[in-house]
Amino acid sequence: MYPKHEVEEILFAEFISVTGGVLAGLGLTFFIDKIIAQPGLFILLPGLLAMRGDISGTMAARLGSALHRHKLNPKLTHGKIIRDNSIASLLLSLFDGIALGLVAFIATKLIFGISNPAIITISVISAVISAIFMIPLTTSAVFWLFKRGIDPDDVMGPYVTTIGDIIMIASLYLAVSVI
Amino acid sequence: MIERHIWKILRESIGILIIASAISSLGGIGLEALRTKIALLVPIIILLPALNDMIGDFGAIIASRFTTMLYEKEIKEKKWWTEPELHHLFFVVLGIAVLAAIYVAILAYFIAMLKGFPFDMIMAQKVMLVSIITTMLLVFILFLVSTIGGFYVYRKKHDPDNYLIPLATALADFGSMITLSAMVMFMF
Repeated sequence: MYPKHEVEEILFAEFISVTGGVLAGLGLTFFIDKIIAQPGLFILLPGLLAMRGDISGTMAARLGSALHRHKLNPKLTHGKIIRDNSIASLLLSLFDGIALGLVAFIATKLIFGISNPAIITISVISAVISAIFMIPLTTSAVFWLFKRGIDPDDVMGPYVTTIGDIIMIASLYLAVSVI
Repeated sequence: MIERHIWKILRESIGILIIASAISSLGGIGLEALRTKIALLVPIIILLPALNDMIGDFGAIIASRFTTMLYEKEIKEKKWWTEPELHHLFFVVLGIAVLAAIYVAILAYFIAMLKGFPFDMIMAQKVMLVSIITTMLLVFILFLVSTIGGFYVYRKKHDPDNYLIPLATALADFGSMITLSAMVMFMF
């Protein structure tokens, strides 16, 4: 059932993915004092990290399917489908950012008795900044892989979660610095 | 005005996206309760995103492999715990998970040392244990949930992929943060 090469493929993809995760963790240590100063940020963090994989991962899957079904021309990295997907991903990031900010705000208020409305702004800014960087990166990666005969469905999952973590931590740093 | 295609993507994605993100975030409550303690544990902070991702990835692998086995009729629900194919899946994923957990703990501690965190054998062993135990426990829970949930969904004639992958990844995010917090609380 599990040929040796398949186990090796999972191991290799996982080692690349966790190495990226460790780099994202290293990024966190550079502004840990700012994280401690914002009650609720530790509640926000896992949701923000999951968000990029969820939104960019599904966008990559939709674009990959459109390429496979010849609804997208691999030579044209712009057009209606890409534009619609980009706008939808940006809007999803915005709405998810608002929802996550509210979850963190309410949980911090109810469980720890601390009211920190700034956490909602931090969540929205991080979500939107990371989307602005991730959308073009995801689109170009899907096209680049497809043109080289690599199925984006096989590769984009670990790629999106790894790059997404690093970009999200950088966006969070920017948001926390602005607030 | 939002165009029809954009509206369709928003309508189909927004609900599950917000639920999945919210479940992931609730796992952070444990971290929030220990935030001053965790802030001092540099290797654990470095470990956080990697562990979160890694367990989510294993959740997706278990769920999708289990669904394929169901469709290919390689396993039966009756006495499923005796099925050799399931044993094989469990031990392969567990083996890879433990190797990845050891690797990530060593890497996190090494990077923490480069940042000036002192080397302490006991502390290094604790970081390693936190990584391995959190990973093993979550792989076990994800396997149970995927198996029991998968058979249930399959019996209802729905596609288990549509339910198990979002469920497994959300549970992995939530569970890994809660387990990590509990381990930090008891061990440090």
